[in-house]
Amino acid sequence: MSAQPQPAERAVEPDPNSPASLHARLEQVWRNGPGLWGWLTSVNHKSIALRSIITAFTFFGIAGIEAALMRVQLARPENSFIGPDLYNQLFTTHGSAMMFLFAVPMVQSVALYFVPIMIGTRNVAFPRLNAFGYWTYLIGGVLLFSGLFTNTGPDQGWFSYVPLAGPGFSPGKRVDIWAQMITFTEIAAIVAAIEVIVTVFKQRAPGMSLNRVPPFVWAMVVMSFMVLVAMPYVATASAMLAMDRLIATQFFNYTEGGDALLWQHLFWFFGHPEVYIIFIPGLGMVSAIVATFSRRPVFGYTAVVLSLVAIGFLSFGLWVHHMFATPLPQTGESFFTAASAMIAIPTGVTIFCWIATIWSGRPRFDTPMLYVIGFIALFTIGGLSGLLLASVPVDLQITDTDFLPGHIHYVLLGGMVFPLFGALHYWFPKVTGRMMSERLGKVSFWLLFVGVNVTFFPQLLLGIAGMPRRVYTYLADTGWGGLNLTSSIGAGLIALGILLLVVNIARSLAAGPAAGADPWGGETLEWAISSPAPDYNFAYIPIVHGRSALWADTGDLDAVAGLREDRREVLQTTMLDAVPDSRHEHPDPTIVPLLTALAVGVGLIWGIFDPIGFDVGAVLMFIALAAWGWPQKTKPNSHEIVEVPNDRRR
Amino acid sequence: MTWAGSIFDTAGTPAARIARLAWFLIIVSGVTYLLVLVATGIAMRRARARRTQGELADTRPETANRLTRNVAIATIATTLILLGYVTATALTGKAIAWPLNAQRPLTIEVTGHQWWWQFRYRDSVPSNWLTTSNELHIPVGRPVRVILLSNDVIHSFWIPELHGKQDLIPGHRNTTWIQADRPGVWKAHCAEFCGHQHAKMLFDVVAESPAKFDQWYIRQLASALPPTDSATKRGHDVFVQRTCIMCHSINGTEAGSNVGPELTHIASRPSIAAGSLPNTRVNLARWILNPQLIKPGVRMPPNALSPADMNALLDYLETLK
Amino acid sequence: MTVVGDISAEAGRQAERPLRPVVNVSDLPSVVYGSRVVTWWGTVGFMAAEAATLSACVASYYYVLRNFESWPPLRTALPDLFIPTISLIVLILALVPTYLFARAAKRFDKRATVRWMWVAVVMMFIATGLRLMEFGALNVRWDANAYASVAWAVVFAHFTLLLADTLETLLFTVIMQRRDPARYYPGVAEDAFYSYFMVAVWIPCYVTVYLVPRWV
Repeated sequence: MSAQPQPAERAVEPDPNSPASLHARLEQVWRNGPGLWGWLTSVNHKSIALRSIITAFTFFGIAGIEAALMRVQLARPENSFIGPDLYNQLFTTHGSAMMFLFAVPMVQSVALYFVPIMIGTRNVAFPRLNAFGYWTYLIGGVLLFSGLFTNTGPDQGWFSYVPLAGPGFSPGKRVDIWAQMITFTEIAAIVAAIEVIVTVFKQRAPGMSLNRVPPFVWAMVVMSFMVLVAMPYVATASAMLAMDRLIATQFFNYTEGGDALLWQHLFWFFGHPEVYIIFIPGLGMVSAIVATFSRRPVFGYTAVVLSLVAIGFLSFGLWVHHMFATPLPQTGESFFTAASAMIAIPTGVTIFCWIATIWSGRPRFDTPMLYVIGFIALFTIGGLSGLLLASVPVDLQITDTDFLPGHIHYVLLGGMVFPLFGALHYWFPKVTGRMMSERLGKVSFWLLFVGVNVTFFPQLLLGIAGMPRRVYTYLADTGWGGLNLTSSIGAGLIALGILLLVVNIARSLAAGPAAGADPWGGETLEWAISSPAPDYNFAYIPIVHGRSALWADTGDLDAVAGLREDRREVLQTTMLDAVPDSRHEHPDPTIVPLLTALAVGVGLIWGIFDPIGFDVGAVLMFIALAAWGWPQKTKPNSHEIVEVPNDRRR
Repeated sequence: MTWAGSIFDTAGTPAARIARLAWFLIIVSGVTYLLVLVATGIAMRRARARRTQGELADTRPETANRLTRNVAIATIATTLILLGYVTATALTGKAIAWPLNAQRPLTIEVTGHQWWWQFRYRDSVPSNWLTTSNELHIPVGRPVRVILLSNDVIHSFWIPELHGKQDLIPGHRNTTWIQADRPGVWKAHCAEFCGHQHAKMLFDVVAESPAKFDQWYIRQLASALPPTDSATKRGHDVFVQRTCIMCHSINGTEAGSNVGPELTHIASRPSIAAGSLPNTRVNLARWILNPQLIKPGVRMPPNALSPADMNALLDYLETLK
Repeated sequence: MTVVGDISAEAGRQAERPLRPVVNVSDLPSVVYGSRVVTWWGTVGFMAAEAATLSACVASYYYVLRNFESWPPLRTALPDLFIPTISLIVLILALVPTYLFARAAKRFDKRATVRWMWVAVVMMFIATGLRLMEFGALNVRWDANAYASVAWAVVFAHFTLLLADTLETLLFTVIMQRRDPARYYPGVAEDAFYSYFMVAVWIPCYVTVYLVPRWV
């Protein structure tokens, strides 16, 4: 105990217990390193998620330009704007990029940004793994588009049916580039899924028992479980395809007992859950927006959560509805019609609950809420057109026609992109500290809403009219020119809407009005902290007393103290009831995740050309992982409190 | 409704039953959609009224009970509609199955190639089996069993006026059936992405009276007549001495390859290039000279023929009725 | 309950909610075991993905089987039983030192932990070597026909798990030799947990590749 210094000898020091001092100490510990090196070594979930969101949006833009080019080609019959070879590369990379490089990474990145804050923790459970996941994803995306820009873009369709994609009918490396892009993005998706699940299970704020977890977080957890089960199937399939092409395995070669339908089963067993992997996070975003903008918690919390789980499970039982035109037994097919119908029930329940929330709430129709209404209006068309497709006899007429692109874009744009854009306007203030322009937001919304309908409703009609899909042109005497032209004009409207959205983002970043911590009056924990959030999220981990964390209490929030302020420490709580259980030290920024991703990159890309690449990659990976797992130097003042394993708490 | 070429322009039983089901589902979907929009609209209006009256959000238990009841009713209604949907689907599926008591069915084996169609009619007399390309004739009123095979990649056989589509999958033997109940002439498109020229892999469908069909069949079975005058003789020589003979066959000549479509009666066909070009002298000339300009990626190479040779070849081909 | 959100939103831009500490957690443990640790859950996550991958390979095996009248196909030999069974036995036996080092780790007994880890590592390297010989014991090249491809696929997919586990155990063994901070014992126990999974998930694969061709 030091003696009191004489007042005259000591300058006035800041109070070490003031919020400002605490903030300074925590920032010092939790911030990224400086400059480019800091950027490359970051293990901060918000930094990584934000760059991932920007990356995903960039791929969205490129794929969108590809779509615009395709629509220009299709605007007139027998158009000569783009020939079949380039067109096939465009539609393949458009679909592949949208599904693998935009949709899934985007929803996972939004989860990785907001889930930790919403559940009251400081970082995801595995900070380095998170960084590794991003770099792996980036390499995969660059690989795909490097192919396209060197005229080796995949051209066999995003679904890559064999034998067309096999060694007999797709020479060169186009398909192999696609197959390895799948591997990269599958690894990244599984990594992100594990992050979300473990973080939500083990790092929730004290008091946030499972029945107090926000529906947005539930949606991300359900999606993550689905990723763990579904993604390995497409990775296995694409590995088998790569091996058929590289080392002459016979998985899909019928002359040696292989089977083209094996590919379809494996791919669609992944492919159907995949669209729900994309859609369920959209439901989560809608839930968050509806609650905040109706000024009441979501109606029917239990029903909504159980419905999300039910959708997740049921989505694994539908995949054969993509294969009705193949020689499968008819009784089997009827089962899949019924299962496809069944999934409409929990989906309907969620939408009914949100309508009930609006009904009994006090809604404001700012831009995020407009996108929610747009979601209801557009997704329902998508879902109902899906019911037409699930009925085997009708499906046999309209599958593989332009009806399909109409259907999928209604569900994907309505079910995921609209909620995403609503979430963008909703959370932009939290990420940047500035508000977006409401005026520009509303204009973009209407351009997009009208544009989507003008683009894709004609496609539903064209399918009924007999136009097949995946065609680079069509004959003039089919009479399909008018509807195609309309659809192409709609695409222009969509492009304009996206452009305005980008302008809105840019202007708001530069000069948007200051947002403050809680511009919308939200109920979840992210609105308790400053905008933008500090690197450490919460100065003290908050304690949650109800389902709506911020609406359950007024005034100050109860919190826990006692985490170390001189190193990165997070609180871990029990799985069911979120009782504080242990403390855990997180790693400092490190370059190892990037190096590991590069090792994986070397192995997989070299492996496109020669199997020896896999061996080299494996060795490099082992070295990188050894560096990853190697114990770091013990820091000063480290004292572990060890709990002997007989303790029964979980 | 007879939107020509659409799934509603039905000319046979399976397609007609499917079209009925499709209408039913479209109407039910439309009504459902309107209900959802109306519910959303009412919710928005009530809520706005609440705001203008300065009320707060309504979380009273009686409201919650009422809303729970409404959500439950909507869910039950959804379930009932879906049950109806599944039933209607099952009934239609049964109704469009291959009729087990089919009278004198015709059997046609369809083989998909990149990017053209081969049809082999399996007559009850094996020596009367007919192989032809890119043009399918069927007799009105007779059920046709279609066997679907593929020579290379997956294609899909689809005549919307008659039935839904079925895929041609290498290594698998798929089957479907069609039956025209009225005469007609239609264009069918391949309906599974199969590579560069999937977009222009079409075939002509002609449904005609049984008498006309028999006449057509007998004519198609006949071999090509030998060339009579010097021009057609020269054309025949161009055909068998240049590259044509490597891929195409003409019954009655030395040309017997089946890599490409057979051409024994090409002059009788309404279109060339797998249904994508009207069969005119000019089009034929353009096509033979450089198919890559019309269908980039197609397997047929350009053929540099002198104008004299080309005219002779065209004269000869025009005799192949 | 919604009153707060309602009124506060009307008030416009909000400041942060002050946080008032009422509980102190500095005496919570920082080294805990089993499912109390995040890496345990992470391991389970990877197990789920790997099990899904193996199930895809095994499902493909049975799917392709339906394309053949005899299995293995005509003129393709049955896989040997000897090496694969020895390999399976060695794998199962390797779980004994695995269990022992996990138990020692929970007692913080460094010497016993390291000793049993070395035994486990040696046995796992032997198992890996035997697995490499198993590829030969399949008696067919991967490109011969679809049967060969799916058989190789199942064995190879699991081989990656075996290799990863062996190398991971080796790494931990080396780490444990040098250090004795308590924080590495839970990782050792998780490595054992992963080994149980790795062996357990091989058993249906073994049955599929080596026994099923003899039964059908």
